[in-house]
Amino acid sequence: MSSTKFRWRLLAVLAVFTLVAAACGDDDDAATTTAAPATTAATTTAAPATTAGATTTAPPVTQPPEAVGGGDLSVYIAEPPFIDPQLVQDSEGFEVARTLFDGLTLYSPAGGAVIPGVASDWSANDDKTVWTFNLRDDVTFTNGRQVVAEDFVYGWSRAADPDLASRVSYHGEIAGIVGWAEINGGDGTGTVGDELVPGIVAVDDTTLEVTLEASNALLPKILAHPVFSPVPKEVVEADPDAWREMPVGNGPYQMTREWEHDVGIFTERNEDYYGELGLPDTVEWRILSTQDAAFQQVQDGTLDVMFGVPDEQVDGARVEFGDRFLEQSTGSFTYVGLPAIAFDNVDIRRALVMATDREAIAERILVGRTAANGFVPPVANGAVLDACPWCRYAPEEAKTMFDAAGGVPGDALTIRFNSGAGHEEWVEAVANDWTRNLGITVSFEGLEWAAYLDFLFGDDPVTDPFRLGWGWDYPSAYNFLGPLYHSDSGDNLTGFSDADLDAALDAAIIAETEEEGIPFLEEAQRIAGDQIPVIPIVFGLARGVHTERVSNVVYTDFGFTLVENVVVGG
Amino acid sequence: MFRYILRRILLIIPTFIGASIIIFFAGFLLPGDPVSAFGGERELPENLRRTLEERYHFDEPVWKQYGFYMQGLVTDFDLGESVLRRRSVNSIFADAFPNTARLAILAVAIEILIGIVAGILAALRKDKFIDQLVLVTTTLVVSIPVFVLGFTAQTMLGVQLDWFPVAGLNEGAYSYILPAFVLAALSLAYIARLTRTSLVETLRADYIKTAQAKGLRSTRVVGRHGLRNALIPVVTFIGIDFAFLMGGAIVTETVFSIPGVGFQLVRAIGQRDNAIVVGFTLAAVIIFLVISLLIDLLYAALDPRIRYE
Repeated sequence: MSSTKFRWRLLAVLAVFTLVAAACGDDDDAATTTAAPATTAATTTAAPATTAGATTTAPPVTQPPEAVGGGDLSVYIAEPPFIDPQLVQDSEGFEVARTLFDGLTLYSPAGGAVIPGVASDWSANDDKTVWTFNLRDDVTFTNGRQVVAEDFVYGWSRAADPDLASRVSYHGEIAGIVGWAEINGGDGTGTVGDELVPGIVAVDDTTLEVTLEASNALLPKILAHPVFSPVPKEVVEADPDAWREMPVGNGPYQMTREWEHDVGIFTERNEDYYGELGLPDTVEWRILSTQDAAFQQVQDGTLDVMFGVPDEQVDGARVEFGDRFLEQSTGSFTYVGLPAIAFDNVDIRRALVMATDREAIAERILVGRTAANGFVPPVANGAVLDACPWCRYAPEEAKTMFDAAGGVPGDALTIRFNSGAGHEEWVEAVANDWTRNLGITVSFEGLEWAAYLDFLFGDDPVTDPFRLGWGWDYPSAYNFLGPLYHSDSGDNLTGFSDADLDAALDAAIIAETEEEGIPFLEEAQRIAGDQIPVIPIVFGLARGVHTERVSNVVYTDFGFTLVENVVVGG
Repeated sequence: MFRYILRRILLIIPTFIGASIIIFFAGFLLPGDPVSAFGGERELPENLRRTLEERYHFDEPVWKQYGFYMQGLVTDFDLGESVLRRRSVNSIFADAFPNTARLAILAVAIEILIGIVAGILAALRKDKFIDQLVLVTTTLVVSIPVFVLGFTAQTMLGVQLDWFPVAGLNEGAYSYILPAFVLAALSLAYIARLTRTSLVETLRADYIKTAQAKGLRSTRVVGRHGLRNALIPVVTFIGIDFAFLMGGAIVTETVFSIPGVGFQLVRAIGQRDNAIVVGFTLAAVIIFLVISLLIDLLYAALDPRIRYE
C-alpha cells in the first residue's frame, strides 16, 4: 500500500523535475553556444597574436616601439546600468562608452589635459562664448558612414532631451550651452532628440559652432565626457532597444555582439579608427558581481586586469603581485558636510576639523589613502595640497576654540551617512574623536542609500553633519570647488556662501585659458581652507592588479583603464 | 476529474491575487523611491523626476499603480520595467532564470547522487566506520555557513589547485560545478542523514524480515523492499528543496558571481530597484504555484481518492 503510494509520489516529483528541466533545456543549449565563443577566445589567447601591428591600414600609426599589438584582453567591471553614451552615469559605463565613442575632444592619458578627438582644432571668440570646432573628415561610425557635425547636434540634443531622462544631461548645463537648460528643464514632447538645442549649430559637415550663455574657458575639457558623443540618428531611431544593447560608435573599439547582461560586453578593435589603433585585438569587459570574485579570477589567471581590489586584500595583493599591483590616486573626495544653517560660527567648524584625527582614519581605516588637507585631489591641475591650515590634529586647541565659540546646542551632534557602503567605521571614528576631544555627545546614524537621498534632498533642511563624496565630471580643480561651495550651485548641499570665494571662482571660469584661471582657483582653495565649508577626509585611490601575460597597464587619474595601450602576451 | 482540475486552477487565482497584493505593497513600503535612487548623489532635476514619475505611474495613488501593474501582467505578462536600468523585468528575469535553474538542477542531482548513496552506505554499515564517517562529515558540513564554504572552495579548489573556474560563467557548463557542490552541500548532508535514519528504520520492519526469511537476495531486499519505502520522506524533501532552489540561491550566486535570480534580487534590494524586487518575487510565486499545481494534478491523476473527493 505505502509502496504504491510512494511510487506515485516519486513519479509526480520526477515528472515535475523533468518538466522544469525540459523547460530550461532550450535556454541551456543557447547559453552553452553563446558561452562557447568566450571560451575559444580565452583559449586562443595562449598564442599571442603578433599580426595586429601589420593590420593597421589607413592612418599613419605611431605606436611606441616596444608595443606589440594583438591578443585578447579581459578587464573587470561591475554591471553598468547603461553604455549608451548619452546615459552613462557610473564609472563602469563611462569606461566602456569611452572606448566605443570619440567626442570632439578626448582626455589625455594623463587625465589633466585634453587632446583633439574628432575635432582637429578649435577656436573661440574673444569672450569665450562662441566656439568653432573643425571636424576631421576621415572619421566614420563603425557602420561605415562618415561622422559629420549633424551627428553631434543630434547626439547632444538627445542628451538634453528630458524624454531621454539622462542623469548626465547636467553636463550641458555645466558647459552653459545656449538653450540646453530650457530644453532639459522643459516637459519634453515624447520623442527623444526631436528638439534641437539652439546653441549647437552644424555650419557644414565639418564645422560645429557652439554658443555659450557665459564665458567658459573649460569647454574643451567638459566636452571630452561621453555624453557629448556623436550619434548616428538613423541607427538609434531604427531600433532604440537594439541601440541600448549594442550602440554603434566611432571609437577605437566596437561591440561584436549584444551586451550580455551581467556576463560581459564584448568588443573588438575598430580597424577603420582614424587615430592610433588599439593594441589588443579584442577587449572583453567582464562583468562580475563582486570585486572578490574578480580578484580571485586575476589570481587564477582567467581575468587579465581589475581595478578596485577590496581593501582587505590590499596587503596580500601588494606582496603577491609585486609590480603588477598598481596604485593610482583618483579624482574623488570624501568629506563631512557642515550645514551652514547649523554651523554658522567659523570657529566651531575649525574646532571640529582640529578635533578629528584624519591621518589615523586615512591610515588605519581607509587603508593607506591620503588624508585630505585641502579640497582638491592632487591629480587635479591647480590643487593646493596644504590649503587648509586648520586641517591638523590638535585636540586641546580644538577644545579651547570650541568652548570659546559656545559649543553646539544641547552639547550633542549626530553624524549622518549612508550605510552598507563602507563608511560605518570611519564615521564612527569621527564621532569618537569629537566625543573624546570636545566633551560632547556625538552619535552617528546610517540610512540606506535611497532613504539617505531623501534625507539629503528632502523638504526638511539638513542640520546634522553628513557624509558625502564628490567625483569629478571633468579634470579640473574648478570642478571640485564651483559645484560644492559656490553659493549659486545646486550641488552646494551645505548652503555655504562666501562672497570672496564666489568672486575667485567666477574669475577662474572666465579666464582666457585654464592656466590663467589657476591662481584664482588657488585663492579659492585658500579661502575654503580658512572657512572650512566641509571637513575634508580623504582623496580617492584606485588599486588594481593584473596577470603576467599583460603589461603596460595604466589606470588614468580620471578613472579608467587605458585598454587600447595594454600589451597582451608580452 | 475535470471538476477537480477546474477547482484547483480556480483556487490559484485568489492565491495569486493575495500574494501579489502583499508583494506589491511591501515593495511600495520600502524606504526611498526608485526615482531618487536613479538620481544618485546629485539631486534629480524636478522635471526629470516628474517625467520619470509619470512614465512609471509613480504619481498615481498606490492602489492605482497596482491596477496598472496587474493590467500589464494579465494582458501582456509584463512584469514591469526597472527605472534604474530601463530594462524590462521580463528580459532581466529571462536572463537570470536559466542560470538559477541550471544551478538548481545540478545541485539537486548532486544531492540525490551523493546524499542517497552516502545514506544507504551508512545505514547498511550501521555503527561501523563508514557510518561514523558520514555522521562526522555531514555534521561538519551542516555547521559551516554557506559563504565560508563557498569562499574556501573558491580559494582552495579554484585558485590554489586550479581544478575549477573560481567565479563567473566564462567557462560554460564547467563554471556551474563548484557552485552547485557548495549549494548542494547543506541539503546533501540532510539527505544523507534522512536516508540513513529512514532506511535503518525500514530495515527493522516485519516485511523486510519476511523477505529475508523467504531467502531473497539481500540486494533485492534492500533495493526493492527497503529503499522504496525508506525514500518517501527523502523524495518529499528533495521536491521541496528543488522548488526552493528555483527561487534563487542568494549567497552562492553572489559568491560565485552567477547572475541568477537570487543575485539580481539582492542587488535590486540594495539599489531600491523596486520593479525588479516585485517582478522577480511575483515570478517566483507564479513558478511555485504552477509547480504545485502540476504536482497536485499528477497526484490526482494517479490517486482516484483525491479526484473523487
